[in-house]
Amino acid sequence: MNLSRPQPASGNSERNAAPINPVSRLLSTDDILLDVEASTKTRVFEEVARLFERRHGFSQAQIVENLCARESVGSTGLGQGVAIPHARIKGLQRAVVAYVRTRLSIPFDAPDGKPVSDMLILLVPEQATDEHLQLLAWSAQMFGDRRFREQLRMCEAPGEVCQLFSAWPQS
Amino acid sequence: MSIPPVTSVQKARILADALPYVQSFHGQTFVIKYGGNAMTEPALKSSFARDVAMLQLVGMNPIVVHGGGPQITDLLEKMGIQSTFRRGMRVTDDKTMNVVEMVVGELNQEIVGLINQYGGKAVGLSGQDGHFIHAKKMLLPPEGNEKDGTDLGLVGDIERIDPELIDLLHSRGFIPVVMPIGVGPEGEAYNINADVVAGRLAETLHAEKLVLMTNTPGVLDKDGKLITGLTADEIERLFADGTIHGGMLPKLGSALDAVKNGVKSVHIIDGRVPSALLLEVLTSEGVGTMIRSNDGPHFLADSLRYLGTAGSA
Repeated sequence: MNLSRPQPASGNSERNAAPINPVSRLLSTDDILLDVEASTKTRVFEEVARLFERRHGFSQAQIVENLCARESVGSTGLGQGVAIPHARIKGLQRAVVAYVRTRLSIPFDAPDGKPVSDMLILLVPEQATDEHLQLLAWSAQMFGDRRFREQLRMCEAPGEVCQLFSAWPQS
Repeated sequence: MSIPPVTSVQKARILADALPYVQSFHGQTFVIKYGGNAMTEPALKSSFARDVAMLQLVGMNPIVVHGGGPQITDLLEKMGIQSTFRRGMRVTDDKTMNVVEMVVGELNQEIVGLINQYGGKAVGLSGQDGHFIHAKKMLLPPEGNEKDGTDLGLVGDIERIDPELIDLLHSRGFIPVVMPIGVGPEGEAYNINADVVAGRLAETLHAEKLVLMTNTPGVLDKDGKLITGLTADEIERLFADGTIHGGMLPKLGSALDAVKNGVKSVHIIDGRVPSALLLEVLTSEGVGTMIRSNDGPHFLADSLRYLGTAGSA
């Protein structure tokens, strides 16, 4: 399948409306952490795993371990200070996401060598499907959009982040 | 462009935000090919010199490589020296070489002076200093029914670069400013393309970045839109389908050689943007096109591999 071109989500109720961003449908203000004090990838993963554990009840240790396993395949940093860490989680029924921004950028082995401050973290069920690949593709497209990145960095509250996600792609 | 006023608190925040970038690139080597408007407009010249001094003072190892720009043609005309052209390229005879050396030598001292004004310790170098750029005569390969290659006089190719002198200068906090003159086996001086010198220096020094300053926003696609990132394979495709042409061809040729030979990334940036160099190195958003090798992380391909075949169901 073609990962680079997200298809519009099906079940779009409004005719001719912009496709609904499937990532924004999963993201609520409770899934957002801003100004996290962490200086390494692992510290951020621990922080976000705590959030996932609290919100969805998965084991924090398993999440950190699996996120790290994906990083060992190759950094999920995209360049320009953004990254999309993700992992398959045993027993997970549906995909969950979180958005984390660190107060200072952290080393991430990104392709441009630059540190990362903005991360969208995705957890998907062990048996990943097309739907989950679409989530990754949408995320990569969103974070690849310079205007989106710049607006994201200006957001000061979780509500603004959610609004920005649901407004993407802008017509 | 008007810049909104910045409060002290915001200033402190901007400085603090740069810290992770300074840490990431501390002790890393950056080869910067200086040229275009950044080398001719007074305001851009000053801000370039200040940026280079700043990068060195926060712990990075910059090297500046420059050519002669349009000044060579101007001076040749003023002095009434007639140029011969072969296959569209100027032949560098002895008289022309004297002019080249005069122009690049003067520019070199000007750049060194400007960097030093901003607190850097710049040192001007030609490939003759310490015999660090070994060159040979360049012959254009024969075309059609020509028997021999085309001779362009004192235009040279790089045989090899000896990194010792640059390493020595870097180890003591100096900023090398290199003019593209190489030395042949008989001690004769050759004029070498500055992009090529910058690329080979970056390879020899295993540089973190090679930065090429141009008068374009970067590499553009067929619709004239900026391409922000390219891998070596993607460049080959753009060569093949004719998207890349004109002056961008030799620049991307140098970039491709560099990333294939161990330079982490090559950046083609817009030297007309004030402080383009600082923006490129110390902020998340670059100001041009980044080129890297086929190795290293590739988000979507790696993700597919990680998620396995489950995704094709």
